[in-house]
Amino acid sequence: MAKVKLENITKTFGNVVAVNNLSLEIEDGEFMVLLGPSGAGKTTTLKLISGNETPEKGLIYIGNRIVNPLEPQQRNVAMAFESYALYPHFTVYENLAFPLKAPGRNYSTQQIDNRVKEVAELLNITPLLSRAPAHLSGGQRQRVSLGRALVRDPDILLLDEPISHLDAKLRHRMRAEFKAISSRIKTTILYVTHDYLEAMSLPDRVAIIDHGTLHQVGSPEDVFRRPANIFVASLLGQPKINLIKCRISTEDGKICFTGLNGGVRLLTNDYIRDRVLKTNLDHVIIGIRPFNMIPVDEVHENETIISGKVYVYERLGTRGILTFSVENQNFDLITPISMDFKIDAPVNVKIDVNEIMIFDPTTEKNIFID
Amino acid sequence: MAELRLEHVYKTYKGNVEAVIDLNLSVRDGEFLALLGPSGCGKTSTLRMIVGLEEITKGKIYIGERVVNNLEPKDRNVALAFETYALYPPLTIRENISFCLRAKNISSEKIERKVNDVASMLGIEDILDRKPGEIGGGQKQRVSLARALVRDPEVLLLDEPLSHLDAAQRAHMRTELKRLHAEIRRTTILVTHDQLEAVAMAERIAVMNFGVLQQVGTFDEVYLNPANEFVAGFVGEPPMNFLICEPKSEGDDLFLIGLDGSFRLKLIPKLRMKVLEKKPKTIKLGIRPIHIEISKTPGQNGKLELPANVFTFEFLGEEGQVVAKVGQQEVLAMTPPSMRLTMNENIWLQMHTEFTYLFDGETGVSLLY
Repeated sequence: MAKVKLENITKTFGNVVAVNNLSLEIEDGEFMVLLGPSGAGKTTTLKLISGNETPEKGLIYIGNRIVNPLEPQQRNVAMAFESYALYPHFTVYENLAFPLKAPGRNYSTQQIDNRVKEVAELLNITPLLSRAPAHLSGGQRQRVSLGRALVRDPDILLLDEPISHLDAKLRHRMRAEFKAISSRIKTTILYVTHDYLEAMSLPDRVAIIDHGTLHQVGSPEDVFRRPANIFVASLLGQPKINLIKCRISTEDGKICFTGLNGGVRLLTNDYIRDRVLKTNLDHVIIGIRPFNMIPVDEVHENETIISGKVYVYERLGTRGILTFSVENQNFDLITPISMDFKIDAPVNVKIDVNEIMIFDPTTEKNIFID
Repeated sequence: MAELRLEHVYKTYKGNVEAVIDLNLSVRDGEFLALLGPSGCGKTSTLRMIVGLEEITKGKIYIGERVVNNLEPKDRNVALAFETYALYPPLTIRENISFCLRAKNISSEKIERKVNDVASMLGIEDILDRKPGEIGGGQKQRVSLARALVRDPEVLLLDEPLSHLDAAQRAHMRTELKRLHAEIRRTTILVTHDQLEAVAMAERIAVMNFGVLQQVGTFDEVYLNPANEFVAGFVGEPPMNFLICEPKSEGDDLFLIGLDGSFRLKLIPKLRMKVLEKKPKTIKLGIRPIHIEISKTPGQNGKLELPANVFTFEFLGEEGQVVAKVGQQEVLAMTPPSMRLTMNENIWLQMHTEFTYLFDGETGVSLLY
């Protein structure tokens, strides 16, 4: 295992800039998730580290070595793919031993045996060693595939959407399973996904990229609670964060946000006021997560309420998603228990003003983050 | 608009493959019903028999008061919107939507009016002069729907309409389809393998497996009173947990003993009666993740409680999720926003008796019925 560092990396394909001046450090032994929508440059970044692509600009370090001029096999990097690609006619043992028998690797039979057993023990697959891949469950196959990547003791393990091809139910299961495995692996891991739940659940830190540009790096909790900009805020959470364009005014020493579409009026606390006044903005974009709004029957004084009309209510198990419209803009909120709503009925929604996010409408940056 | 009724419908393919077995189902006039099940459960065969693309081996299908078994697809007044949009690439969106009307000898002013009506209902007026290659997946979806609706069908069939949109588009289209149905109130059948779509959109859900209708009912009926283990496990996400145990009488009390003696639960009288009545050899105890409360200390006597050990804990932004081991068996549960758990920590899973399910360990049939 080793620290991996990307320094001002740029990679283009024809006119398309896949990775744009990307700098990123993955600590020794760290588990990092690279999160972004398709086309963000995630897989290209992996391939640049593995040596399957060459950057036009910038340096890549693995440990203290600059690896730009090195061939993939000289980099001591292992990659496990979405599809497991195990050799069907080999047993699990033979699949695991295979990378150690490659030309140029002079391991004795005893050394290979020790290493295979060590990795098998780590991944809890010792009882499966004599089986053929066809006789394994999906989860077991994934572990064998990981084992094959780990058996060479790579400096960094690269994983490209390892569970995204599974259906929703299995994915729940495999995510938990992967989490359990990863806590035992001490290797530096870079894991690519477009699924924000994997990015929340698995890593020490998450790096969010889009169009080849890094938007934010931080712990899952940090990027969720303090997103750097609108892109990050919208990527994390389902349903997505609600965004409202507002005009700023002052009223009795308080800051008031008034929705440009009408219907929305938020009075804020002192902390938000001080921060907003510092920016000299006259407009902002307010972000409210669906979890921070709740429909109420009675309206009390000093509560922040948005009034709208029920657009649709979807029950999802014991909770539900209420989509309501205010002056032709739709908002989503999550009800903690399932409720009943009539389409087009009026609804009052209470907002937790302490949980709102505020973005600069031009730069789209979170004004609370420097 | 019309009621749709299937009476003792069978579909048997060559080689005696029974795709649909004795299906009885009625969809009310204007209702939105979801036909839900895993691949191979017979839902698509059912849909194809309703449309007329597949012969009915046995039984009758009624649309309104008419038996439609022997009618050609075009005479059934049923419209199908596909998973794959199947739009004609060289035609504009307007031409794609009006295509089936032009084949029917309708005046061009009337066609124009109908296309405009349906386009404005679906919010696609501004793309009518584009070609299919120039619009996005969500828009194609709406065009496919427009093409189905422009014919004024009595029954609208949606075959996995959202399955190849991305997550954000899917959530959006789900909302829009539900809203659309509320506005047009047309008899609609949604075929899907995704329980979330079925639960979110439909008024009633018909769950199928191995060609057999397992249960049909409103969300509350299916979710809160599942007829069997299959329905219980298929509807709801994350899925219901099942723990294998054996009933054991001690004096007047009845206990459930977990596999390997990992737990011992005393049943409340209501559940005890059900078990004594049906006498199963083994029982699967069903608990939904959302109905479990996690405690870091054992509770007072009298509560249903399982001792467990944290296998994995995931914090997912707003809340968390834990997989805990109860003996050798795994249980998944949700955790509140402020709770943090560590691996191998001892915890207690507490359950409300009203949300505890018991299934026959062999047949999977609910013991609570």
